Amino acid sequence: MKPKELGQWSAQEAWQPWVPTEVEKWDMARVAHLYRRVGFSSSETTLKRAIEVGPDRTLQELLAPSVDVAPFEEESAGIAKSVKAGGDAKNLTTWWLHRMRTSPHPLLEKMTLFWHGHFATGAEKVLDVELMHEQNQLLRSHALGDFRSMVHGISKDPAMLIYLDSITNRKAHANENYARELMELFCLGEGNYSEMDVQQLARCFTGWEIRRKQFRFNRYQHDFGTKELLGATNIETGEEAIEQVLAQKELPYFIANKVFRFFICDEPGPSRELLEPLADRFAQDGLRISGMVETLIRSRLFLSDWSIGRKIRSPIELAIGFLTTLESTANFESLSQRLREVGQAVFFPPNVKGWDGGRAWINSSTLVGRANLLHQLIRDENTRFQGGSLIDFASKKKLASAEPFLDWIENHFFASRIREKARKEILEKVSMKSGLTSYRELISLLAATPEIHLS
Amino acid sequence: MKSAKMEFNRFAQASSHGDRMSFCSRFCPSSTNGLLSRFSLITFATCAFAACCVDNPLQAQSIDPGLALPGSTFLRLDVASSSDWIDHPLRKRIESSEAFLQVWRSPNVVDMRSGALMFELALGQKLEVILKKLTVGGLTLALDAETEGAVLLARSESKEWLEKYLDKLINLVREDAKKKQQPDPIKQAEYKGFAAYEFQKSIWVVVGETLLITNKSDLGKKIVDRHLDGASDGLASKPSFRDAREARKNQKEIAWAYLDLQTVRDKGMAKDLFRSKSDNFFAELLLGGILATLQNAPYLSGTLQAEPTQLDLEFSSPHNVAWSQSKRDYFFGTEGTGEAFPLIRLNESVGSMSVYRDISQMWLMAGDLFDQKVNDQLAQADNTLTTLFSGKDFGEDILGSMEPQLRIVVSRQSINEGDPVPAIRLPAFALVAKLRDPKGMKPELKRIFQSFIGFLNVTGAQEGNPQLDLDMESSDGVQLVMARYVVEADRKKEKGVPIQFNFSPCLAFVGEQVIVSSTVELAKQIAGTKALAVSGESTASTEPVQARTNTLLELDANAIRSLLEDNRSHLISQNMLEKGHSKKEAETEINLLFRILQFVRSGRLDLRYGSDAKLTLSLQAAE
Repeated sequence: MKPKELGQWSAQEAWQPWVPTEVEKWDMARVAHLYRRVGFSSSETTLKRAIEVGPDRTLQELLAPSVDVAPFEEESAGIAKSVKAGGDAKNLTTWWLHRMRTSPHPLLEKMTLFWHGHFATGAEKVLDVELMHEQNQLLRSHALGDFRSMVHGISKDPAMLIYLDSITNRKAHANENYARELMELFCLGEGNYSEMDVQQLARCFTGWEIRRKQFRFNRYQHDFGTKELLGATNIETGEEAIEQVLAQKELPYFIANKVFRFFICDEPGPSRELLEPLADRFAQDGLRISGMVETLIRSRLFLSDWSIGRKIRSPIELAIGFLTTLESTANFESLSQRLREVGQAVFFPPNVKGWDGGRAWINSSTLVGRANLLHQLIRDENTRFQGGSLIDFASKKKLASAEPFLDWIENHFFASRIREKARKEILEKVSMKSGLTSYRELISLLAATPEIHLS
Repeated sequence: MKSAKMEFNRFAQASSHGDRMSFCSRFCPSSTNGLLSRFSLITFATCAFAACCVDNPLQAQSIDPGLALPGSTFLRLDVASSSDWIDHPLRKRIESSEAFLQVWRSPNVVDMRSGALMFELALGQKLEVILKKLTVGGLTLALDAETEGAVLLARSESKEWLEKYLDKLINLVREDAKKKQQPDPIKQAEYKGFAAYEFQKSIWVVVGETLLITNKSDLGKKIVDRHLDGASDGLASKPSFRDAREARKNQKEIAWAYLDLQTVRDKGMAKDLFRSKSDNFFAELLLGGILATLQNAPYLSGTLQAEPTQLDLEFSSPHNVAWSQSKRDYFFGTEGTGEAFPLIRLNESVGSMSVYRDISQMWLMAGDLFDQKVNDQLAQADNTLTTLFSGKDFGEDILGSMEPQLRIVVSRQSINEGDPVPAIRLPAFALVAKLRDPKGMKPELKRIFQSFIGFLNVTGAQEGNPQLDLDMESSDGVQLVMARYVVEADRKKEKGVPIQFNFSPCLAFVGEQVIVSSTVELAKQIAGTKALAVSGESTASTEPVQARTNTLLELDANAIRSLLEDNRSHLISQNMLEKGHSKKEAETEINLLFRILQFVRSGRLDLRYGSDAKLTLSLQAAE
């Protein structure tokens, strides 16, 4: 039976918790889909365990892992300290990729990545590793928490204000940059504020400065005059202005729409009616993020057959997902360089709007680059699969030849089946090779299929 | 590239085409061996004649590499009998070291050891014993320019022993192939009465007590023929080889090597090494003189010696001052009279180096020494540095203000209690040089240093970096101009402060010597050493001497280990990111590095020039 199209879903049924049925089973395809979207794919062991324990416990574990994350955080903090000491922001990219691959809480990293694209800040302009790291930690600490606190924090974040040329904001010449982006990109979206609101909001932020890498309020440069912002007339400080922006009815829809696109599909966009329950949940929770995300990832729509393979993998999802599925580790430094080449270097977003995502990930150049990325990854001597070679991995999984290996990767990593013709061609080409070369060749050929890019 | 099979055919066919002696096949193997069955009739027909050859006394004797290797040999490496190095006390020390044991117990090595054990069981003898018996008379490896082949000659205990174990080995390989249902991997034949085997692109021949292994049949034939003929016009009669042999020390060496540089140059090998203009500034600075020697000398010889606690590797070649005249005077000094000062040794120095290099001259000769790309980069650097040094010409005025005797000291920094600790602990380093015109240059250098600190403060302030505070100090004939980063009150006891806190730039004047140091403490330490006072008086002598020291380098493994220990967590983090290791794996790898360093006490490099050029590398084992 053909799955229901997005337009055919009513808001009520879309956000009901998903339950297994005869048609939509809690099977490997669905579990792999869940882990692809909520994290960065997963190992066979984790997927099998998820099937075993069922959807409730699996989702609960993804939202709030039962494992102690403290040792991981301590280890990651040690690496971050070393990276900061080196002073090169490119190494922060490496640090985060390592986190994404090894974190026991993949949803938190995925959400941090979401907010990094939302509150995009580029290290090439900020030129300070410590500030970029601090911002990243700020986003992480609120990634599934309180959106209100996150907006207040980011409005005083040195990296953000440096990136938006807002390190000085004087009453004589109010800087409109941050004020505009706060409403247009971060909270409300275009058409939900006026030019007058931008000017008034900028006045509220006067006196907000960055000095010696820290936020400082300079009361001598603050405009204490009366301001009228988004219908309110009693706004005086920057903090009050932020509250006024956060109180706008449009805000929950704006954020819910972005979260929907991030987790479910880039196109077609959801209708306002479809988003309403999500936005309502966000608003009712006092702008706490976790409730809305939980509703979404537990929903019938998210776990439906229609959603599977509906998104295009970002370069990070492709690379980290590949490593995670094959339980492998790699040279994260060179991986970070390769990801930069195919358009996704974290800490270096293309502009203040972040990454467009969706079809924008794919063009003639990145398509070749993405295939090369996996090709190089499997040939890099530092890439180890379960601590050993690819052939050892295949042997441990009892995948004695190319065909079962292809089936295994298809089941665990691919969102949709490889076309039969392409499959035959791949196996034919691989049959001419033997040993490690055949496995490597197989992955290189799979990396050139269109299906690999779907999530 | 010709296949190994073709090579073997040529080897086996040689005498059937009327070679001086005969072709004989002792074995007429199964019909599966097409190559040999082709020759079986010829073999049979010539068998009687071949039998006569056995009477040749040389046939039963071991090959003498000196006589048998052809004159076209351009590389010869002699390794002493394996007993000399297998039973060497240094080996026992290595084997009892923790680093070795860690590697020995690692899974990969355990796998390898299991494989070796299986092999030993199959051969019925320990590998160590086999190796000792196989190389009783030593090993010789040679490369031949004419055939472009390589040959290995192992002089074993006896012909009987060699044949017995070779047979065992062959049977083992054949049985293994049989088990795997693969074709016979070994082909066999005879050449002039000697059994020959082909296995994996190599040809194996037993000549008396010698096992000859080569990848080129022509080379193998040549050696066997020369052996049987007792020829005397081979490598041993080559003048450059004779000279190298004569210069050889009468000492017990583990290995000795000869490289015919003339052939290497004529054959166009190692083109990069013999380029007239360098493409790397630092390689030229460090090795320019060595390159000049290699570009002209007829040969290069090398010796490896092992004392109970020391390994010495020495390279030697003839040297002539004229080879480097004018172009590389910066390296040797005019008429080759340049000589480095004694090393400066400090308690915690990681490394100390002393060289004779007239960098100013090198900078000004750049057009003759470097290719266009390097020259463009140097021109750009010259421009920037001239601006940075207040309009003084960098090559002529700044570098030219120093005598060519330069010394560099690298030392571990100790952090005083209560001082901020940088997240990455860098070593302190200093350059020590003698000023050509101390009176005129001291005030100039002082002013330039102050301007430089000002420049750092301005650029640092723009990026929000900490600021440097200038100060001066003068006592006991030492004048110091120094700058220290200002520590904010709240960061005084902080751990993990920025990398800049590794530096407190300092310029010190001691008599005619100037010290440019990355830290004040190191400058003070150097200023107090005796070596500085002594060298202050010394100048390059024009008297003829047997050998002048051009470059000296000493490294202290203990200090290096302490330095790495200071940055242990950083090394572990880097390992995790670069190799994808888990923390445990990264720690194991870094620990191994520390353990290897524990085994070594120091390393030394010594480059001397006289009528010969000698480069000695020594490694001192820890007690």
